[in-house]
Amino acid sequence: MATATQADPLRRGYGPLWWLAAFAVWTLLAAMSITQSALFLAYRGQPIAWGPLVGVRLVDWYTCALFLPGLVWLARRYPLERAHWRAHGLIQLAATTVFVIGKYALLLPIERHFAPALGATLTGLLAANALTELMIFWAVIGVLHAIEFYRRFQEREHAALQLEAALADARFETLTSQLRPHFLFNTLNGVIALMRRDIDAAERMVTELADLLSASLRALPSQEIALSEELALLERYISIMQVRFGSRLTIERAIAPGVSAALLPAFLFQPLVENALEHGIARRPGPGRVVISAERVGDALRLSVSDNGPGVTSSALPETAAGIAHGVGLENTRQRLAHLYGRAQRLTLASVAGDGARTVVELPYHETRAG
Amino acid sequence: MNAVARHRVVIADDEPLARERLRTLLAVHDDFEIVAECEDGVQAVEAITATRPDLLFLDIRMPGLDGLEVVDAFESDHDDGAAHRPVVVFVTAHDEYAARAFDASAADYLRKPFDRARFERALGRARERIGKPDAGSIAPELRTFLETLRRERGYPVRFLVRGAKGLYFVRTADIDWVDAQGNYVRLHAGGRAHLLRDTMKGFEEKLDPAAFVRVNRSVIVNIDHIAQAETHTHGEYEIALRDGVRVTSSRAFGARLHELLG
Repeated sequence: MATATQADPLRRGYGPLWWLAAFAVWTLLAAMSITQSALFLAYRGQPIAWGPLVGVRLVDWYTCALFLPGLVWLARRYPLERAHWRAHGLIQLAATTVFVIGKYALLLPIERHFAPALGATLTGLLAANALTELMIFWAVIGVLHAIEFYRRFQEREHAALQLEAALADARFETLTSQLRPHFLFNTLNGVIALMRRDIDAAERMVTELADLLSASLRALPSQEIALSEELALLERYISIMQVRFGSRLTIERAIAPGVSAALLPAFLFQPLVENALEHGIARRPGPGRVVISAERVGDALRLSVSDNGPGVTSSALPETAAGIAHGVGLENTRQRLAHLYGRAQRLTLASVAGDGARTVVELPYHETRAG
Repeated sequence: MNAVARHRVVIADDEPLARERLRTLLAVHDDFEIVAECEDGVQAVEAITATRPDLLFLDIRMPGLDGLEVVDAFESDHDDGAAHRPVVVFVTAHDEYAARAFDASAADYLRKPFDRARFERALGRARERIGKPDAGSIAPELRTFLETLRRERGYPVRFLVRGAKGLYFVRTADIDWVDAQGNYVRLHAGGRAHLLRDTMKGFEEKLDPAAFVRVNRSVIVNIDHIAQAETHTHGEYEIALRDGVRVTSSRAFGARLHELLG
């Protein structure tokens, strides 16, 4: 039994290089602040005590820098989205206020140690600097929000591209499965055989083949189609296989009433049926049976395809050649489901040795197009 | 037309329409007579044994045994020489590049769909070969191509064995170990031995390397059926199998085993 696993969309963290860059920016800010003070002293014609000046400014800025991880966490945890910008803004206002107090609580013992003559107190420091410092914190958090916003934008674009690629793959795969020489040539061979005794049946077969090719060539306007449309396409395929295999192949349908409007990814069903025919029936002597079902189970649409083929015969199910062969055709389906429905979907391939295989797909039941 | 000289034909294809197509095209030829139609590989082997045909139209992809396995099965059945082997015309919808190369040279390969002209060409060539000493031989390039196709399908899950009482299958998963026995390999499964005409190398290639390992020049063991493996001397293993048989791996083949046993 294999279960689809779905990785969370990658939220990249901040790497060591980023922190190094942040440290450099911070040092640059400190250097600017030192230069500003030096320029002022020079203008006033006062002597510049470089040691204390540099020391005081660096301590001032670096104690501030200690809170950067906290600011990063805030910006990531409480993004200023439309839905909760007020609450998130208030949280950040409160947090930065605490940070400012924390910063001066840290600075106080240092100041007392190096400049005991000033007789600094926490209240005094806060009265002199708190609002300016708060503005600096807000400026920093503003920059962080901008970075986060840009990153999320990039991630969304990346995910959209991936989905597009998976869709293109699915379309290509369906197309190539219809154009797969084995399917196409066997079907044409069947048509030639039929032509000799049943022209109408031959016409039907060519028309169905054309319908299938046309549907897979047609660019899909949307990602999802109604189950009824999907089943109509599937019927063309089944009809062709039925004529080719005759009484050897029995297809049963168990479509629950009332689910025909359910939406599902286009061309989701057909690869599952092909897989069942390819691995279940074409390798098994004697009559074969494939059961196709669709039903609503709670909030989910459950689709299943089972066959009475040889199943996956070894105990080490996914590792065997048969297991892999069975699974390969499903990999693309797995990816599409994960992209479209995240964790709210499941694709399982269960198999009993000698008693066929059963593929089950579950996805959120919906009748109107999502997003 | 001399009715006694009719060539006996067996058609094997899992699609009824494909058999019908061949039947229709053959109907106009009074010197050919269809003696059996089969819808899978096992039926084909049985029909060949029972009817001794001169010509065989054989679908490559069939349930049970594929076309090449059918050929292998009756090849091992005729050690007395190739004279009794039927001429084989492979019929398939595969359209690999290699297959197209055969269209020009080899008439013993028909790609579906085919028209009467191509069928006649193949039949004409088959007619010439019937009764010749090399009638049943398969062109080496064609065999290579067929083996490639088979590998793409995965490893066989069972092997067809000819016993005293007829044909039967040995499931690949049931094989404990395999050893060489002249021109044959001997499959040991559940305490019984089954002879199959093949070489060690040839048979090894039909087995999934994740399930079977060759431990020395003449023995392949089923990894899942190893009960115990002890380091014997440097690079050699003493392997005890589930059925009590003990084999010693040789250094030359021990590397894979070492990898597996860690």
